[in-house]
Amino acid sequence: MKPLFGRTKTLEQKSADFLDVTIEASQVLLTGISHYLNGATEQFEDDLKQITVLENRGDNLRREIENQLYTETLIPESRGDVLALLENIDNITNQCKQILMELSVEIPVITPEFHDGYLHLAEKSVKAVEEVVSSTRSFLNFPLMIEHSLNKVYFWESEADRLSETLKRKVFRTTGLELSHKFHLRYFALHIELLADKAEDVADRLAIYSIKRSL
Amino acid sequence: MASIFDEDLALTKICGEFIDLTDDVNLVFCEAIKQYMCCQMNEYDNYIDQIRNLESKGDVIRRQTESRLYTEKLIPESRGDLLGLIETTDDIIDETKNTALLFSVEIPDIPLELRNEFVSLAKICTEAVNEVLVAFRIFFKSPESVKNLIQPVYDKEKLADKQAAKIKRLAFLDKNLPLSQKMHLRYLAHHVDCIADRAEDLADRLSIAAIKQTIKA
Repeated sequence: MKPLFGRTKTLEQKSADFLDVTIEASQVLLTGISHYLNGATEQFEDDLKQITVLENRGDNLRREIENQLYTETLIPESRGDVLALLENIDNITNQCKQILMELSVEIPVITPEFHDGYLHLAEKSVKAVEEVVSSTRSFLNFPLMIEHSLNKVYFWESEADRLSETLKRKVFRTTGLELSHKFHLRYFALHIELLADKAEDVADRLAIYSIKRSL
Repeated sequence: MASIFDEDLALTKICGEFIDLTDDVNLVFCEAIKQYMCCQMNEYDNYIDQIRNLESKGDVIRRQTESRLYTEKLIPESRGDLLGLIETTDDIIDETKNTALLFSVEIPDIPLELRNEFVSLAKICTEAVNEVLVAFRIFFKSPESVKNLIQPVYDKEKLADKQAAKIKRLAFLDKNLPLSQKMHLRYLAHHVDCIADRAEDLADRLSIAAIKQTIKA
């Protein structure tokens, strides 16, 4: 099977850059959460600035790719699929930024007993993102490899689900916490878990697109 | 009228299994809520395990069906509609599982006077899901009958909205409850009510798919 973009090299480069942005945003998210939990406020705010720049860059790249696909009438048979794919991947970067933004705005009090829970949850969600980006690269360049990496996305997504549930159970069974505080902690667990769900959404689309391409 | 699956009995069978599974999740959920309201936590946890297993099976069946629809080039003209129907049905399973898990994870303290109200809400939502699954089954055999079968789904969904509003009102009028507990009760009522919303989503899709099938015939 041929690479999707064939001879359209600039498009191939832009898509690679767009995927790099997604990976970078997920790494900044991890660092940001770690800084937040350790009370490193200045570094955390730097992470937020960095992820905001990445998100803007991702938006610009997505729009450039979309414009090029339409104005130069490239890969008309797969254009709709590629557009939907890009928009779903962009949701991942947006979610990364959203999590750091919410931490910055709402400054939730996360006591040390929950730090590991949040970090591990974030790590698993980011693994789901890394795998789905790798699957997308396969879809664009080496479609035969895609099935193997899609399976990993589903694995890390279910791991993120499991860890999020464990964390929320621990929160709601901790005595001495106000119910409102428990809600706040649940909210952040949910939003980090959503990152893995967004990776899964991309994986579901990739699964169908890759079947369509193979026909 | 001919079914869209006339030429593919295996696919009809898989879709039937998926509907059966959704029906099971729906029934188990209603029983689970009854047990929670009676503080039978062991029973409740058993039901949660059942729902988890059914949901995982549902995901496998959904992905198999989607893959089959494309790889075997089946009913290409109706493929998109069927995919949408399967995914929307899967949303019902997901919403039901997530709502059941909320009770298990957050162990909300439900005041005695609201327990029967929650059971009533769960029953109405279960009925909404049941009605839409009946319509989904009939869709394969007789799409022209779908129109008459989905009206009860909309009626039940409205009833669920009313019942959820009643619970929220009662919670917020209770002067003895702290604000955080009122918010918790509102959150739970909202999530149970969402199950009926997902049933309504499926009814909307079925309605359009059935019209398309009827026109084609």
